[in-house]
Amino acid sequence: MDNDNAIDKAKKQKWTEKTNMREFGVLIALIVLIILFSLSSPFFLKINNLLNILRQISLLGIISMGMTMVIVCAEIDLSVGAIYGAAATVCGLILTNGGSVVMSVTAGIIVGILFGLLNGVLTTYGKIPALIVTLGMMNVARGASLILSNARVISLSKRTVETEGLKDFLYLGQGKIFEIPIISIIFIIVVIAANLIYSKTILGFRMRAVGGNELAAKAAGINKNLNKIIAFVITGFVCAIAGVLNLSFLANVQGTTGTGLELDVIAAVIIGGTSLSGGEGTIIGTLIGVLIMGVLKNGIILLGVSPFFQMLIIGIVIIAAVAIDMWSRKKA
Amino acid sequence: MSEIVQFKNISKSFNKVQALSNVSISINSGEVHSIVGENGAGKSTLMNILGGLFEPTTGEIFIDGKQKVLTSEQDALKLGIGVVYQELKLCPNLNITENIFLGRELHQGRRINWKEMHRRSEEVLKSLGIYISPTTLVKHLSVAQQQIIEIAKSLSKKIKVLVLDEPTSALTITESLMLFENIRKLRDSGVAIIYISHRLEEVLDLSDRISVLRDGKYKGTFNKKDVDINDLVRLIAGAKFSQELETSAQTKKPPRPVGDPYLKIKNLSSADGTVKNVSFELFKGEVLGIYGVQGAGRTEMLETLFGLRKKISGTIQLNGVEVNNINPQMAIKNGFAMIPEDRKHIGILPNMNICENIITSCSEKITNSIGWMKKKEMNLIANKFKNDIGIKAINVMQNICNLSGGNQQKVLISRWLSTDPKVFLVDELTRGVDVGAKVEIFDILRTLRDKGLGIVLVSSELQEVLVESSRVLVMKNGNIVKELVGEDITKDNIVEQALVGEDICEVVL
Repeated sequence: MDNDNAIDKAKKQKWTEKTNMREFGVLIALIVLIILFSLSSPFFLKINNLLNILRQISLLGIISMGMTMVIVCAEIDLSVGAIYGAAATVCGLILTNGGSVVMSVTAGIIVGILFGLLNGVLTTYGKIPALIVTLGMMNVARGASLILSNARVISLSKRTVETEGLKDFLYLGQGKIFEIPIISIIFIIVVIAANLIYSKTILGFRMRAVGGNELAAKAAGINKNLNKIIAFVITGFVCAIAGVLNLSFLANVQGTTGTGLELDVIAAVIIGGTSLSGGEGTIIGTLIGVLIMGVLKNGIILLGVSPFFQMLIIGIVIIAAVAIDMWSRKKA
Repeated sequence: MSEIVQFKNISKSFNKVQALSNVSISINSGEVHSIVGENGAGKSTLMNILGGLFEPTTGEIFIDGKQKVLTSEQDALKLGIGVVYQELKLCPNLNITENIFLGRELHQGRRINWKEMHRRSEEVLKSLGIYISPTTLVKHLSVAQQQIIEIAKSLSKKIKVLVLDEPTSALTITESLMLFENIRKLRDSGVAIIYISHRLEEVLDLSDRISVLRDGKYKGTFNKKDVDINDLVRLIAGAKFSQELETSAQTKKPPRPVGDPYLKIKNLSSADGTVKNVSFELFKGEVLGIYGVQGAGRTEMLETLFGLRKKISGTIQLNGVEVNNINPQMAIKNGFAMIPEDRKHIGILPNMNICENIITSCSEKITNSIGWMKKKEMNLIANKFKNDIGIKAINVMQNICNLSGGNQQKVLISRWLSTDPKVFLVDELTRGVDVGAKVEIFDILRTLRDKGLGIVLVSSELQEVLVESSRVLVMKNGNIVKELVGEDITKDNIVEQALVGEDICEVVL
């Protein structure tokens, strides 16, 4: 009886206790932005524009889900943009050389997972700081893509690819179901899967434990290395998915595809309330962070402001998001 | 010989805890004056008062015959008082001169005068009898040499009183001997040296006079030739042991368990040498106390047992079966649990709530085969422990950082009980815990003992070890020097063994 009562009590207090204040703050920021842009531009709230935003953020969003897990483990991954490019390059090369769709996509995803595995193992068992490992891996993956592609554009067209399934492959990136881009549907699936893994399984719990207090987690019997490696592997995996989808969307890829993407990804995760010192952060927060990035970029263009302002404003938003986080924490 | 420092009726209390009461000691220049006492006798508090870190609640300090109020380390330095703390405060990436003159570099105009600084450093080093280039980086020096640099740093400030707090705890014998030689040289040059150490052999070897503190009270000052080691031990432990405590300890003490030992440790050594050849046995349903002075290897021994510290040799047998705790995961699987000494850094998960902190180590119970966490089970377990152990919180969703030390410790106890352990290793269970919670926590421990758990209790609080344990192992320098059973478990015996117990690895100085 006592226990049942206690559970009821816990359930009642769930909302007040569990609502993440930071997540809440970011959500308010997003709503304010949407109101501002919808007031200043008649086009902003049009269905087509909203779908456009959704498509634009999908690839960034897919990668951000993995990055959230890495950062929650108190690590960082600078190589996501390069892995994204490398996976697409490998996939594209196999397709243009007569490989089947299944084979080329699988190969691209294996490339992503291997890079993630390497990042994880070097960071944990190799005892090299993740910043260094992934900075190096960024160059390795980028260099490999340029070598493999001979620094030329790999283009997928009927002329270069004779595979039967090419049309289906391109449909992945360019097709729509009920006007919703397939890319975005995959993004939503990735968000749901990541959220389940992160907040419902022991794996996500352990990532937060390791990021919150590595020594305590180890003393409590958590294999911190394994959990970090899994976070890196998941990140490599989602990078590869995004890279392959990008190849399918553009029907071409080159060695430099995805350059600088890592900074956008990290920015979205941090705006979403994930702490760089680890242990704090949610998938939903990152989703909101990604949406803020998308809405900002889109709104600025609609307002007719120079696109250079995009960079400037996003820079300010990143600093402001972290500043609010740090200052509010100091008070607590 | 003149009186340079005089403590007069110094008392100091922290909240309600009386750390020092009415202590009066005077120190002469040109002497080595040792201050000895148990863990928590008030030695460090007294030195922190002299060093300007604490102000006394009541009482006065006279320096050179004048009453002074010391409110900061700078104040103390200005009066010529230098303190070398147990933990060295050097910058390993800088060289010797840079460390010695840190923050008070000599300069001519805007240019730093390195030449003069090197010259002076060399001079100080030479006066201490070491000939190392002052441009050597501190990280390339041995711990003993670093200790000397700390002393040199104090000396270069023209000090009259030098306080050394446990300077030999990290030194080898030869390094210690080198340090003693330097201390004697300093004394002969007229500096007053206040020497704090647990190692009574050293104290007797080095000191001119020895003052004893016990439970924050001054127990007298003695000339070296008037006392021997047994006198000191008696003075430190208290000649007449409080009768009440002894009887209470006797009545509460459980009978010594009979039957075969449940856990057998043989020749356990850690890779870093902090634990050497430790062997002991643990029975079901007993509390085995482990005592030793700081640095005796108690915590390290538990960590080696639990797989947190690398084991280099030795066997662990549980219920007749050999187990290999290569990491905490294995240890937990084998039925071990450990409450660490440092709750904040290797205990709690600060970003999580009570429930999550409790279920950290019992993943099998709260997940299904694919790792899905069962919310209902988690809440059941957390709330069960909240009620059974008596964690005082609004609900289990509260963040652990908002709890008091005692309640945090109860959460950690719950975490380990949820793994159904057979052997419970507890290290400084009541550190930073208020008195009320202390009593509750020990009640829990007794209940666990009566349920048949084997408990290893490491504590710096002598009284805890005395009252709770059916046997006491005394550790010194990484070894077990004595096992005390039944009526032999007295304060005198424990303290004597902890300070001067036979130690196979150390040559008597």
